[in-house]
Amino acid sequence: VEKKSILIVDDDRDILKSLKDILQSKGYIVGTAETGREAIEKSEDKIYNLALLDIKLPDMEGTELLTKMHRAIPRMMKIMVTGYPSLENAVESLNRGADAYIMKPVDPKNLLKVVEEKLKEQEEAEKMTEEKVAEWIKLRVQKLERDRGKD
Amino acid sequence: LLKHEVEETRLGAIFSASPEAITISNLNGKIIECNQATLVLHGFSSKEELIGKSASKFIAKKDHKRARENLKKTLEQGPLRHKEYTFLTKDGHEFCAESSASVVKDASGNPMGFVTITKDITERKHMEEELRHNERKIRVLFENLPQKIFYKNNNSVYVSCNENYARDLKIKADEIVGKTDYDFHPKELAEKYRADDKRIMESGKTEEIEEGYIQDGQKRVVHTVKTPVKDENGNAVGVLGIFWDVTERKRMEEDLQRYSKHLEELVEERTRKLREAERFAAIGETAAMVGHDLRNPLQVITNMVYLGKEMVQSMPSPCRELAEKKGVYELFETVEKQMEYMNKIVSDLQDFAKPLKPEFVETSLHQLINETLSMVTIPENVKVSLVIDEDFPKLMVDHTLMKRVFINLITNALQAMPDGGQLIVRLSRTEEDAFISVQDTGVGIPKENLDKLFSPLFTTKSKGTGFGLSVCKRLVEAHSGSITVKSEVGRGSTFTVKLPLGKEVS
Repeated sequence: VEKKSILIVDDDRDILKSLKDILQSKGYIVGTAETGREAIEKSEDKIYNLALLDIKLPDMEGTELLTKMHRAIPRMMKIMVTGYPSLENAVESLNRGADAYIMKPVDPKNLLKVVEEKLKEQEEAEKMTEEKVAEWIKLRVQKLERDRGKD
Repeated sequence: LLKHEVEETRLGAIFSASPEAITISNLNGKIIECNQATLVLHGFSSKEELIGKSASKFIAKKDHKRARENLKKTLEQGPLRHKEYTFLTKDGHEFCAESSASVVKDASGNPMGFVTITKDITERKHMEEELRHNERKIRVLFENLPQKIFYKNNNSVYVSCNENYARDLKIKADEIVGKTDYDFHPKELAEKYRADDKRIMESGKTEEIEEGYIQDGQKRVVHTVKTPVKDENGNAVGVLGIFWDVTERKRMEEDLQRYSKHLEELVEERTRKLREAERFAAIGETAAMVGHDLRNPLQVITNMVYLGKEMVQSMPSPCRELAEKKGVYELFETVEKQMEYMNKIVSDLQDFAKPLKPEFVETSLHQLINETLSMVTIPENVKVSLVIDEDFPKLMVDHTLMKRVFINLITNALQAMPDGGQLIVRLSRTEEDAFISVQDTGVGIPKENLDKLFSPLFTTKSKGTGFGLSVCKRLVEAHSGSITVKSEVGRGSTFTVKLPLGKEVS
C-alpha cells in the first residue's frame, strides 16, 4: 500500500516533534514546517496528502496559509488546528477550503481518527475522479466507434 | 377787695411759690391776680401785662365755647378738674394744658370769681402719644407677623395671643384668656407643650424646639421659640412663645438629604463598577493570554502520554507485564485526568476572556436542564428533583451559554454535597420574570464570602479557578438577567437565575 504523507505546520517545535512521532508510528510520512513560508516551500517540493495547519503562525495567519495552499494544491486535505475555537474562525476556515477544524489540545486518538477519515475521503474522491475519467474515456471511445461505423 | 383778702391769707405764700399756674379771675373772666408760674406758662415778664385782661385771650379760639360752658358748670355744680384746653402764649404759640377751676365766694356765699390752676401737659401728651404710637406699632407687628405668638402665665394658662394663632385655634384672639393647651390640642401634644413651658420657666433659658403641631387635622412640624418672662425679682411669671410652620422646609431638607445620599451611593456604585470593569479587563487579558499559552504545552503533554502508552504497548510482553504491574497505566491515567482538569481551567479562562455574542434561540429550559443533568455525573448519594411550573414558557436564550451556566451551577451544587444530599432544580415564573433556581443541601457558604462569590478568581475550592460563577454571572447578564444566591452554613445554598420574560416566546 502506498504510504500517505502529512505536513504539520506549527511554530512550536515540541508539538511538531510529538505529533510527528505519533503520525509516524501509524505509518505516515511526515514533514514539518515552522512558518507559513516554509510550509509553502515544502508543499511545492513534495506532494502531501494532508496538512495540519496551526491557526497562528509567526509570519502569517493560518487562514492565509490555508487560502494559498488551497489554491496551489486543492486536492490536499487541510485541517485547521486552533488554540481557541470561535464561530468566526471556524466559518472562515471552512470558507477558505479547510476540510476539518479541531481544537488544541486534541486527544491524539481523535486526531488520528480525523486524519484517517479525511484521507479516506480524499481517496474516494480520487477514485471517483478516476472512475469519471474512465467513464468519459469509455463514452468517447464508443462515440468514435459509432462515428466510424457510419462511414 | 379780693386782692386784699388773698394777700392777707397764709395762702398768699403758697400762691406765689406754687410751680403750677394759678390765676384768679372775676365772674366776667377778667384776670385780677396770677402767680409767677402763670407768667412763665404764658411767656409774660410782669403781672401788669396780664391783669385786667380777659382770661379767654389766652385760650385758643376753638376752646372758647367749651371753656365758657365749663365755667358755667363750675358756678352751678362746683369745681371741675383736669379739663384740657389749648392755651396760647404771649406771642400766640399754642400749647396743651389742663385746668382745674373752682368758684371763689364771699363771706355770705355769693360767687365772686374763679380760681384756676393750669398745668402744662405738653410733655405728658407727647409721651402719651408716643406710647400709643409704639403700642400701635407693636400691635401691628404682633398681628401681622406670619408667625404665631402667645403668652402664657406660670401655670401655662393663656394670657394672650395674636390673631394668627387664634385663627389656627378657630377662636378670636381675646377668647384665649384663661384657656390651656388641653382646650385646643391633642392630649399628648398639650402635655408635651406644657412640660416644655415648665422646663423653660425653671431653667430661665430660651429654647428653640422643633415639634409636632396639628393644623386643620393635619400633622405639621413647627419651629418654636419659647422665652421665659420674669418679674423684677427674676421669678418666672410666664412664657412667651412664637412659632412657625417648617413642614415644607423639613420635607425639602429630607428630600435633599435623600437625594444627596442617593447621589453618593450612585457615585460609589459607578466607581465600584468602573473599578470592577478595569479589574475584569485586566483579568480578561491575562486569562486570554494564559489560556492561549497553556494550549501548546498541554498538547505536547497529551501527545507524550499517548506516545508513552503506545511505547509500553509495543514492548515485548514480559516487559509490558512488568510495567503494568508497576502501575504505569494508573500513572498515565492520573496524568490524563489532571490534563483534563487543566484543560477545563484553560477553557474557563478563555470563556471568561471571550467577548460574548449570544445567539438567542427559542429554547425549552426543561429540555436544556435535562441535557445538562445527563452531561454531569450525579453521585449515587445525591437525589435530584426537578420542579417545573406548568406555565413555564419557552425562552429566547443562547443554548450553549445557558447550558454552561447550568453545568457550572449544578457542578457546584454537587461539589457542595460531598456526603450526598438533595439537588432541586426549580423553574418558576412571575408576570415579568422567569426564575431558574438550583438548590443543594450541602455545606453552605459563610456570610463573609457571599459578596465575593461572583468575582473572578475568588474560590474556596482547592482546585477551583474562581471563574465558574463569574462566568455564570457574565453569561446570565448577557441575557439581561441576574443571578443571586441565598445560603446558610450547614443547610445548603440556592442559586437563582432571573431572566426577563421580554424574551418570552410562548
